Amino acid sequence: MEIKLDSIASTRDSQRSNDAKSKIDEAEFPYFDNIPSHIIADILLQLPIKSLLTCKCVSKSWKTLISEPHFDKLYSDRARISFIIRTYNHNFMPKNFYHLECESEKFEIGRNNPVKLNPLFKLRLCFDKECLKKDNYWNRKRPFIGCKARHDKCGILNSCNGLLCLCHHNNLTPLVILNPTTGDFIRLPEVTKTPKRLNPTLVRIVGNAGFGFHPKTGEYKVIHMWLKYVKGNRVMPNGVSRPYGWVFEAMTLEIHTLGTSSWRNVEVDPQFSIKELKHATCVNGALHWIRFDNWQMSILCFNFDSEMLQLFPSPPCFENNNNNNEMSYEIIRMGQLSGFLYICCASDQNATMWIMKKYGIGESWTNVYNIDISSNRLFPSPFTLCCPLKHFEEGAIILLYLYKSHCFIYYELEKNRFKVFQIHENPPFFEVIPHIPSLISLKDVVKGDNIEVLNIHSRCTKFKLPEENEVLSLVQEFVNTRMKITTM
Amino acid sequence: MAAEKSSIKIITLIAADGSVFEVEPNIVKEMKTVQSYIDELDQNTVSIPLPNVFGNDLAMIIEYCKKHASEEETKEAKEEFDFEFVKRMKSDDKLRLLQAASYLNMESFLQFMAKAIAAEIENQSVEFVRDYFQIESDFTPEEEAELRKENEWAFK
Repeated sequence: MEIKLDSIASTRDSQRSNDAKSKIDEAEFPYFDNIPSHIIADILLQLPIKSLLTCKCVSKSWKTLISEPHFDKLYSDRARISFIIRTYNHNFMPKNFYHLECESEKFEIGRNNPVKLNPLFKLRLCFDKECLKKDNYWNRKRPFIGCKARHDKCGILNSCNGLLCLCHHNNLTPLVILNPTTGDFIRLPEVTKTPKRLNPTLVRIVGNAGFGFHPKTGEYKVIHMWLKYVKGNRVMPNGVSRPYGWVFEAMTLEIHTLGTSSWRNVEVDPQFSIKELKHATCVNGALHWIRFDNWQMSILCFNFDSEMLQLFPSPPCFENNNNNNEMSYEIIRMGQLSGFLYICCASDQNATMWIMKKYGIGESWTNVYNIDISSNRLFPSPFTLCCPLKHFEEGAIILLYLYKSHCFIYYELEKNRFKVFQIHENPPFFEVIPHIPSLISLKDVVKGDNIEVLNIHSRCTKFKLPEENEVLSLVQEFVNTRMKITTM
Repeated sequence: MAAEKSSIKIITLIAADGSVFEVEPNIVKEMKTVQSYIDELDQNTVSIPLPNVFGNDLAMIIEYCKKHASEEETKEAKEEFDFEFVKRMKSDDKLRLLQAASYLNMESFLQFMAKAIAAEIENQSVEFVRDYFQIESDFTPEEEAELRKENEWAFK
């Protein structure tokens, strides 16, 4: 029995009301008008961020589509980890930040194309006199980051939801929140100053900070701390007590909610000593740091909800390393992958990666892989450092190798082979920050109307930095298919 | 109802140009537009006109569905097939297939085509993308210049 089917109506036809009768017009088919915007969105969601920005300039409707917060949410959910790379130079602070998108196709073994690194943005700092005039600097309370050449240095604290927190390079005072993809940034209010007139031979004040997101309230928060140390004493064999080393005494902690105009003090009494805090990572509405205290490591956590500073369960590798070796924070790295906290430890023997599968549950720290470093010619020195940075879903990982010259190592876990990439730059050292690019608008993020959102691209475009047009490329050095890796 | 559904042995799909394709029910499972219609029927044979899909395109879609519905094919063989499938298509074909997939409401094939099209426009100029989708810019030259400046790094 034949059934006529008129009920399957075409959405395309219903849209083109003036031409409803001619069901198919071969000459006009296909037109963009015919493709519903949710399908255009499906295509655009597949694109890397750079191409997505190009597509923003195609037409008004495409620009609107890409700018929608809903689109950004879908795009960020794909969690495309990329790296913000800054070359390292002892003579001056490089102002170019490069962007490396980590699609595995770029690194796959069998391909040998140099990977171009895009200069993402330049920190155009305000030491040019004309620049200052143009920006009407003298009417402003504070310049962007610094106004003197010697102040034009900044560090990256951490990345959270596509936003970077930039800080003073030395005392880690948070200065600016920036979306490096769009170039939007806002300045943070000044933190409470350190108490003056302290005798530097007896008291030492060290800053620390972190940037995170509180999903419950939808607020972005910056934490800033001053850690206070006093000179310790050691009793000499002759019974005389002499000043020796620094002893942790107290800390002050203040919190700033993005969009407000001030910092608020939070009472904390840690009851434990903190020598150093590293690798600020925001997961689950809390900021986490690795706490170093002489020969011990642990994880410290500040919960945005309870506003408590507490110790957090750490992975077993923290205890294994607890021998007489001096702890070095460079061989350990903490970060988050798709909302999971991970820790990478590296020794002269192996590199391991741990993931906390259930947040807050110490037993859920799971060993994801071990890489045997000692038996490989790639790692010739006992001082070799190896930081796993990314774990591809397809079973490949990117490692950052920090010996002599920094390089990236791409592993295919299943096939036990790897490929080494080096950045062609002299000296070949660089800083790498894992980052998930997003088109998130700072205007939507900040609560309060009196916060000025500035754009890094619209500032001082006349002034070019000497290094500005430099393009770096990541070049394949060699391929090895005999690497020994155990997957857990 | 369930017994009646399973009694359907052959489904006839009629493309826009009149070409006829006879397929097994498992092939159209992916085509939600067709499937939802079949679900409401209790006949043994069904003939369904698809006025928005060309014969050539429908042939390709059926070929794709057959390969992916097959339980004998390995994952590698399917991947290899996908690779070759995209390779022999022109840009126009891809856009037409995308629209056909949208009309037939084929979720995974739609994603597959979206990916294939994204691969073509990736790292291309604004002009290329406009040309590809036959879009006329509705920006004034000033607006466009401003927009390009804002997203400067993407144009290097």
